[in-house]
Amino acid sequence: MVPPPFLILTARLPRDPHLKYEADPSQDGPEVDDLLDAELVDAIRKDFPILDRKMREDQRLVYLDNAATSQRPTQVVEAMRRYQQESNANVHRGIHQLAEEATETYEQAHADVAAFVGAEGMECVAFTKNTTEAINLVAQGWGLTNLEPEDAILVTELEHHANLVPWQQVADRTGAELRHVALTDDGRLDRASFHDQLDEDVALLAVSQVSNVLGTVNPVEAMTEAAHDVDARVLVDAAQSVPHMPVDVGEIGCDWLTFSGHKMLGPTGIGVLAGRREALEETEPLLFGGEMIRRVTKDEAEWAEMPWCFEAGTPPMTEAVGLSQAIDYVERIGREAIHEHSRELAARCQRRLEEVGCEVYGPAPEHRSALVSFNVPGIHPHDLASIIDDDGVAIRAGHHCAMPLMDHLGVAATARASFYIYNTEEDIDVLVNGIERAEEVMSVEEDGR
Amino acid sequence: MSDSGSSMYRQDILEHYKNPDNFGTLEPHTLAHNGENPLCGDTLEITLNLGDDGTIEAARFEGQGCAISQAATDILLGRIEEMEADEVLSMDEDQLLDVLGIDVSPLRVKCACLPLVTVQDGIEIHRGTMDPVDVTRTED
Ligand SMILES: Cc1ncc(COP(=O)(O)O)c(C=O)c1O
Repeated sequence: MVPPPFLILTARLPRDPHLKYEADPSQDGPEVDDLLDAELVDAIRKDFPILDRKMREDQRLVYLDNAATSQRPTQVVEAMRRYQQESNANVHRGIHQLAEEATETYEQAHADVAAFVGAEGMECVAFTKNTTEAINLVAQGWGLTNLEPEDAILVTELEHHANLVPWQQVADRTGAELRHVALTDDGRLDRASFHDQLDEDVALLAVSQVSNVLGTVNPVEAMTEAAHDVDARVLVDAAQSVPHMPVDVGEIGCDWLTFSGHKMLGPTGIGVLAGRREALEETEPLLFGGEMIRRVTKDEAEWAEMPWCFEAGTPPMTEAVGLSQAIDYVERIGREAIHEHSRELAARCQRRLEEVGCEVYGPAPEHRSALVSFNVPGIHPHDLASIIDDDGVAIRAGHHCAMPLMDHLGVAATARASFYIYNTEEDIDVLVNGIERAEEVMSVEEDGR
Repeated sequence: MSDSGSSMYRQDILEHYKNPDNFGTLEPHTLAHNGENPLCGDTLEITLNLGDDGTIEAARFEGQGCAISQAATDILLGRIEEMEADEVLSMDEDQLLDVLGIDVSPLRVKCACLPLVTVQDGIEIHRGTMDPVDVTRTED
């Protein structure tokens, strides 16, 4: 029998070097390498006070909107609070103890992220506001300055608007051609379409590792290799993969990798651009001003070294502390275990939804990550979301910032349930019961229209 | 605290959604105008017949979308028949919600308002008091 799993996560709170906190080795928990067991999930849930709040008329919160943003554990909130109240100062500026501590903490956060996603070092990790800004940094800092009318940009039909609209802009402004990898009927990237379009003209491939609508896990490693064979650069949008599965820039081999803190237990206001050194060296800053310079004269300036050249202005210091702590939390559970857990929930949810007659979009469970998009016949997803909101169930309904993908599916909108470490099978039961109740609420004699 | 989601779906609302009184297209018509709610994907195609004195003689719609947008359209079109076009132009969100008689949760107010703004733009474009647009969109 393992020690109470509750201790595994809650006991080892801060990890901030300046707070001189030493983890108590007697509280080390077991290595979790399989499904998250019920006891561990219970322990995890205790770290998320929001899961205890009562919704509407006293219902338990069933939070199934994790792909939009995850909840944050006490450890993350507490680390940020302590930083604010005990160590706050501006980084890279003052010559005083607080500034020194703040700078060290902030730089350490880059190192933590680098280790987390297998980047070469902290100079290969820049903090941005979110995934969207990280992609824009590459689109403007590399795309606009490197692409020409004879070049092509290859994206896919399942991209989030964040990984589509910036490339539309680059195509517009540089004259480069924008191409789209088509999808198979079950919502995977069409291999033939990919290879057909990946010719010598392609200078950039921008692809998400996991679709935020279909949950499809894309073979980004193989795609990167193929793209590099034609000398194209590769950006991988890892916003939906980093929270769940092991992601390693080196293993994928991609040039840039982007994700957001807020979808992986971290705070809002911080995102990451990580990448290969040479690709980052080719990338111009997006923002100019203080913090990103080495020397400035009246007429010109020289950029600071990476990654600081990408981080103009006072950076998200508190958020960096939170992100670091979120990484720590995720690593303690283990991303393999997290992925198994959320995939298993998604697979069960898919099965249950199909059993009750829902239309489920996207691939079979073996190609799917932690979410399920679906529609209940005859019920608009917004009506469904409104009705099951009464049961305390939070799902997403809409186009999920992927309008071209909605066109492909031939629907205006879908409902989406997305899972994370604190979700349970009972959450799926509540969802399915809610769907059945919605069908009752919405039922009325139809006389043909 | 907003009202619960399910309370919007009263039987009379669902009745208008499933069995609308004013579904269809007027041929001929004085004016036709479309509305769209990009967020939900609700769409409306409204046709109106205006009398010489500016009263709305008939109003019909075709459309697709959530129950709130479609029921609101059916109810509104039923209400504005025989009304002066000017009166319709002066209606605001609160008056529309009064007509519907349900507590629309804040996130769904746009769905409910789509028919009103679509009808209003259609009338204004017809009168030449507004630059023509193909479709009226609620912002998301
Ligand atoms: C696949 C994907 N890419 C990009 C984004 C954008 O992330 P953010 O809104 O944090 O910039 C999201 C978030 O919804 C996403 O799911």
